[in-house]
Amino acid sequence: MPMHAPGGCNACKRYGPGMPDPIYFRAAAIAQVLLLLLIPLELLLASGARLRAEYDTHDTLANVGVSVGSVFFWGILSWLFFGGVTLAYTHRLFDIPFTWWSFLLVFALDDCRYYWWHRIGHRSRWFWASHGVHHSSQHFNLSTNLRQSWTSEFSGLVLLNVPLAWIGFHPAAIALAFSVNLLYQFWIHTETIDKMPRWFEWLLNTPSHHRVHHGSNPRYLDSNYAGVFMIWDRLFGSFVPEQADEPVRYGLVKNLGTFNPVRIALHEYVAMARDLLRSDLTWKHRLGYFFGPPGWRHDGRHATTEALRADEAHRRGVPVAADAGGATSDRLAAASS
Amino acid sequence: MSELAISIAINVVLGVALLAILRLKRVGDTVRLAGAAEAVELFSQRFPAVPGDATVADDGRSALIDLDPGGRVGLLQRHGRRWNARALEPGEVASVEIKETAIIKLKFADFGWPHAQIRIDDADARTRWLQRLQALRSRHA
Repeated sequence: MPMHAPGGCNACKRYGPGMPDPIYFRAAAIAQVLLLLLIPLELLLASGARLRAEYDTHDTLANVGVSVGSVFFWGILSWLFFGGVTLAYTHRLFDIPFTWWSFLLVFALDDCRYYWWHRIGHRSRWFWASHGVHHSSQHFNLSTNLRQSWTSEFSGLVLLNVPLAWIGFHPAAIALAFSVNLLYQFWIHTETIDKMPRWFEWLLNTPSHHRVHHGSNPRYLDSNYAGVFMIWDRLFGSFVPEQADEPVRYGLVKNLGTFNPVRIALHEYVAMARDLLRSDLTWKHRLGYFFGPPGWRHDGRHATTEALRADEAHRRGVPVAADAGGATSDRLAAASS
Repeated sequence: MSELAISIAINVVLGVALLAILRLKRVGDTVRLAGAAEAVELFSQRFPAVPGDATVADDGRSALIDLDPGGRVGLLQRHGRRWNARALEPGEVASVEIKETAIIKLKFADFGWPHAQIRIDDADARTRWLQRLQALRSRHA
């Protein structure tokens, strides 16, 4: 049974049964505006000490500034997403109608796509230059949702959407699934909620899991990539629970010293360009600085997640693998530069 | 195009509303360093087991920490309500200058953390740190 509004769907008459009724997009847009209203509500309640949430004037305004740029660049670059998936859809293997079951299917598959998009976004510097913007705040509240990349369409990871369209899901159905995914992720950017019921924490992404994801503590780095279903992290070995004895330090390994939205949005690209333009590098080194994990260095003084974890283990007296990187003091210097 | 304009307008209205609440509720950026011990403790959260004596700025907004005699300098700088730590190495400081008599102004070759200011009223301490910081610049300049 197709999921269409009473009276039928004009769009699907024109674009075929795979096209969701536009009413769902209007509902998603209204939901987005309503969710945005939760930000001032959280701020009001937090400032009255009724909620556990910390807001900082400069940080919050920087989030809004970055959001304006993100919306603008999404507006002018979204054709890259729609162009790619539409092209793939024209060569589709199947005609999948838009029904409740096909939506659940595309939602689950898109959530898996999101997991890998997110994981690659953390593990390779070119993609991290785009996604790292979202992690650059040292606060974690609902306004952190606003701090989004300006270059997500430009990085190339939109190609991960192509397989779904090629299978036969309509580009609009894929976009709707992703919209619902992002709407879900709004509420998990908060310190206000401690833990959800155990079954919920096991199955779904929660504020607790996502606090860990935003942590710069070595233990928490590069974990909990899930959008909605935590099953992907459990399946692919990236799940890390929040520990009561280790409060999350939000932000980057090397934090920013600016609230300027342009600097926030582009800082990693500029740092990467500086590294790539060094005259004392081989092309292999340059590939490392471009595609290697954030913190990779050609001289071996890595400040990658693995190296930082090895440092921490070294300090705690826990044996670590020998290939994690250079000496501890070297790494401290590398992390600072 | 109208959807893009509406989306941007919603963000702007949201920003104005948040700013109004932040002002109304006096959510300030009021953190200050209480002393050298606190500065070292905050710095060691980012750089564990790094020893050093700290000089806290007179406005309590930053501190300089002696990491290696004659070598690296630790910088702790207020960033809103948080503290940023950085171990300054030779070549990292693009320029050092004195501003308004007592303020050491640092510029970094770093797009994400372009500058810092440290107010040190004591002339001897200021001169000592100025020389240390200038040495970080001159080695690679």
